[in-house]
This record gives sequence, structure tokens and C-alpha cells, in this order.
Amino acid sequence: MTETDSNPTAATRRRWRMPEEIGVVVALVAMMAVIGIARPRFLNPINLFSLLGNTTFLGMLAVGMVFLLAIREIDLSVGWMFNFSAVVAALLMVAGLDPWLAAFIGILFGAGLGLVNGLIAVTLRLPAIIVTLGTYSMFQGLSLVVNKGRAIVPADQSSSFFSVISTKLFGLVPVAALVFIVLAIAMHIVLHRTRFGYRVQAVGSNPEAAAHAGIPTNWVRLQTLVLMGAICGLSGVMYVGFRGAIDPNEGGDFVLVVIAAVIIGGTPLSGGHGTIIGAVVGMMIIQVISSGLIFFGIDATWSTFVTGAVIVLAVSLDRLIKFQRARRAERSRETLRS
Amino acid sequence: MTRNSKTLLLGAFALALGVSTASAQDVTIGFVAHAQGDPFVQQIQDGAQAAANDLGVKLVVAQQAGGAPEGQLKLVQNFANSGAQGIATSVPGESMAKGLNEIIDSGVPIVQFNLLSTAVNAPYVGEKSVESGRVLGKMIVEKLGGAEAKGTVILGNCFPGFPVLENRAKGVQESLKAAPGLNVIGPFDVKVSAVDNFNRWEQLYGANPEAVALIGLCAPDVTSLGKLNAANGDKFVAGGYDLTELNLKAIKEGHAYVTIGQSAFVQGYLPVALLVNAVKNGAKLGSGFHNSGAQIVTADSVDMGNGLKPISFDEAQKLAADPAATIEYYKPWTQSLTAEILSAAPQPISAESE
Repeated sequence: MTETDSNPTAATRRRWRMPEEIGVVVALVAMMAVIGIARPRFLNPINLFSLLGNTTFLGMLAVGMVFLLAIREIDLSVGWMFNFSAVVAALLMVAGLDPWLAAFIGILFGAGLGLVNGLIAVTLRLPAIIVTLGTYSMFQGLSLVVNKGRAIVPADQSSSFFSVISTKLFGLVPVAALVFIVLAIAMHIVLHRTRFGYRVQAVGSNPEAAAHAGIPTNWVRLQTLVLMGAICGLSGVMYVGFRGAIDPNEGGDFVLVVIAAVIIGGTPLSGGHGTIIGAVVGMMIIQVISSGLIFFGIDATWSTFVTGAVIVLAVSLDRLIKFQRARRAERSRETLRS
Repeated sequence: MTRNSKTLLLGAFALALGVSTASAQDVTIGFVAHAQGDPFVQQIQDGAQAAANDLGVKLVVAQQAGGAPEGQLKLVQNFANSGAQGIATSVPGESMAKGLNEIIDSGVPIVQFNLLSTAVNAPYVGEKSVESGRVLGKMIVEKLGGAEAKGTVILGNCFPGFPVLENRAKGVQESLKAAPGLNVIGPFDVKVSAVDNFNRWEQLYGANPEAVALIGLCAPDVTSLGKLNAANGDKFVAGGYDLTELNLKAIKEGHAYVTIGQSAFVQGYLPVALLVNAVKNGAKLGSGFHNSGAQIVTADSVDMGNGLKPISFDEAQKLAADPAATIEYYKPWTQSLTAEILSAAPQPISAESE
């Protein structure tokens, strides 16, 4: 019998331990409540599902970025992998290929771009952030060459690919958002319930120890970067289905928002740990702030500052909660010792 | 609720109170623009605000730093969901069309300005983009000596892929063909931020020091080219777009030759006026083109377009720096905008790129 088992109070506390994402979830709910009280129209289901829809494409990238941060890597090329995959899929559709097949090829193409990042990073033993600093421009440039600097708009959008992805169930819930939620749940399970997920966190926690324990660290890094590419591909082809077009400059400004969402959600830059739920909530916080500023009628000249300030506030409150929880846990341990 | 949760809630509530400054007015118009901080876009915004003040409506502005369609569409959707009665937006990409049409179908009128998608079922206020390029190209050819001109001409585009800018490039290239001896290279991506823009032009000139003319298609180009020309002994002819303070300074000092204005004030004022007319008088807003008019400014002549009274170069400089003076200058034009004029059918959208 363990020490805590002998103490019913401590055992109860352990059973009722709050999830680590509670801080950002409370921050999100509080923001929505405050905006909703001041501007009741904000809580209109149409607006809330619109916000969920707005979270979809960047949110998918954030889900993949959690794996990278957990393994102590950052991929700066996510926006252009998204764009390039979407452009390739859209061009195949324009060429007459079945949109479902074109979308599948687009996802594989995204995985291929991730593989390029991974192979360079692993073979040259470079951090992904350095490699993707270069491939960021390479993928952008190649995408511009392929799309000739113009939007790609598949002319025939009668395929079920477009109607299914852009459909809103009950006139409210975007199917694309449901795909995002399913992806997030699947990736949460992969990160926390599979050998691959444990390995990602082990390598991110201490690469040397992971290597000594027999984990093929290079293989895990490669898999993670390919996964990121495939998710970018998925997000890109879904974007084509949802919006019916892909523009040459779309995706260029995604990376900072994606990394911000993951960090707001509670995934540390130091690696070894990640939270998919936190990243999803982090992305929703960013969307709620953007929407809230407009509902409050805050002018553009102030909104940039307010956006940053609210993000800092949300992260500070989350850290404050975690700090207080850590102190309480420490006090509990001291009490048990005494 | 835990103590921590209460702290969070109170913090968020205090923040919301601090930022809640909106005052109640009957009609709210949302205004969404790209390239936050760009002086030319600010001039458009000043025009929109002037219209809101004149027409007694509330204008709320939202902007994004770059020109990504997805970010811009989200801002428009937020305005629609927040209950704005009308929305004016630039449309930096085709992927916005589907979402904007859904908003229009839901009953919220939209007007496009400065950047357009022809797939959007809304009017567009802007310049005749190919034609303005033709004017710019023609002036450069004439400055270089007409049909006998020879040498390399460098063309730069700050946002490759934007239809309006691609159209300008098309117009410039068309006019430059009048001088077969000119070798046109580009368009190159010269970026939109002032620092990047200057660096790109410097690199391009460094690689092509024999160039006889450098032509930009966006607001920061004339300023960058003026600086570059000044640093290299004014060896090339510089031309570009927009009547910003710094662009006019470069022309006045003789480091740049010509800048083509696209009536920023009109591009801001007219969309708001059209929306207010639609909201208050029930006017229908279908697809179509409202020409904002072109302005042609060199050190020797200033044509402000739209039948506005002639002004000197110094007065043009004053207008670029002073929104209040601009409002005053445009009064004869703003006062001419009757409900009848605003309700008249616009030109077909194809006229924009003729």
C-alpha cells in the first residue's frame, strides 16, 4: 500500500485532480461570458459555430504543432505546406481529377513536404526550426511557381467533395469543424495513449535518456515532421473544399498564430509534454478575442494592442493557476511528510 | 467556483469593461482593410470615417497586418455576426468569395474597395487597374524618349497574385511595348513593408545597374525608389503608385518622376455612402464597378481626377498629410453624392479591367 492510499483525503484529491487545461478553459469561458453579458448577440449559436468554423484550419495546424513542441522542435513552414498542398490539390481538380482523389493526393503531398523537412533535419542533424526557416521560402516559392501567382479556383464544384465539406449540419455546424474535432480527439489519443505519443514526449523530455532507453530518436523526429506535413495537407485540401479556392498568399501568416495557440494552451517550449485540448482552446481564445474586439467596437488602431494584451493576460492567469496548484501540491507533500 | 476561477472571471470582466467604449448609434458600418499601418490604406480609412461623420453613422474599423484572405474574411464574418448593418471590405483573394456571398445572401450588404473578386455579388469601388497601368507605362516611355527609348526596365509587385496589381502590371507592360528597345524584366516580388520594399529594390538595382527605369505597383515603391535614386545619383526614372506624403516628397525632390493616385479618399468614402444608402433607403447593391478615378502627379503637374479643382504640388502635399484638408477639398464631390446618384446602376464589373 502506498503512502497516499493510507491517507483518504489525499487519495480523494488525487482522484479529483483537475485537468491541466482547466486554466485556459476557464479563461475561454470567462471571456465568452463577459463578452456575452455585454453583447448578448455574441452568444448567438450562429456566431459561436462561426467561431468554431474559423478555428478549423489553423486549429488543425496547431494540433500537429503540439507534437513538434513536445519533441522540442518548431516547424516554421506549416503555412506554406498548407498552401502548397492546397494548390496542388486544387490544380489537380482543375485538371479534371476527381476532387476526392485530388484531396487524398494533396494530403500525401503535404506528408511528402513534411518528409523533406524531416530528412534534411535528421540527416544533417539540424533542428527543424533551422531547416524550416529555409523550406518556408522554398515551399512558398515553389507554390508561387506552380500557381503562377494567381488564385486556383476549381471551376466545377458540383462534386460531393465541395458540398460535403462546406455543408453546415442543421444549418449551423460546419462539417469541416467536425473533422477538426475528430482529428483533435484522435491526436489526443495518439499523444497520450500510443507508443508513438509516449516516444515523442520521451524524446522531447530528454533526448539522450530516450536514446539510452532504446528509442530511435531520429525515426521519431522524422515521423513527427511527416505527421505535421500530412496535417497541413489535410487542412489545405479541406480549405479548398470549404472556400472553393486557394489564393497564392494564403497561409503565409499562419505560423505565429499556430505557435501562439499551442503555447497559450499550455504546451511548453521546453518540450517533453503537450496538450492537444489546450492547443484547441488556445486557438479558440485567439478567435474569441478577435471576434470580441469587433463586438465591442474597438477600433483597428487599438485592437492589435488589445489582442496581445489579452493573450498575455490569459497566459498569465493560466500560469498563476498552475503555480498555485504546484504550491498546494508541495504543501500537501510537506504535510504528509510531517 | 474555485478562487482561481473567480480571479479569472473578474480579470476578464475588468478587461472587458476597460475596452468597452462603443456608443450606441442607429447604423453601424464595419470597415475591413488589409495592410494595417500602410499610409495609403490609412487615407482610404480617413475617407470612410469622413463619410460616416457626414452621414451620421458609426464606423468600426478592423484591419489585418498582411493581405491574407482567410484572416480578412474572419473579420467580415465577425462584423456580420455582431449585427453591423453593412460592411465595406477590400477583397485580397478569391477564397473570400464564397464566404462573402453567404453573408450577402443572409441580408448584410457588402461593398468591395481597392482589391476585388469578380465572383463576389457586390459592387466594387476602385481604379481601372489595367488602364492606370497603361497611363503609368506611357508616361515612363515618354520620359525615356518615346518609341526610340532603349535599356532595361525593372517592374516590381509588392503582392504577387493580387488581381488588381497583376492588372496594373499588364497595363504597364502593354504601354512599354511602344518602345521595342526596352527590355522589361519582372515583375519581381518587392514586398510591402517599407524596409523589405527598399531592400528588394536595392538588390534589384544592384543586380541591374544599367536599368533606365524602375516601376513599382504599390504604395511604398515610389518612396523606396526615390531613396535609391538619390543614393545613386538619380540615374534612373522612377514611377509608381499612390499619393502618400513620402511619395510626393520623393517627386518634389526630383528623385522620382511620377506617381499615379487612385483616389484613396473616394475609395473610402463611396463604399460607406453606398452602404448607408442601401441601409436607409433600401437601395439594392448588386455586382458592378464604381470608378474611383485616377490621379496623375509629377513635379510639374497635378491632376486630381473626379473633376476636382486644379491644385499645386504643395497643396497636393498638404492634402496627403492632412485628413481635415482632404475632407474640405473633396466637399464639392461629396456634396454631389445624392441618393439618386448612389442608387444608379454601376458599370459592369468587367469595366474595371478594360
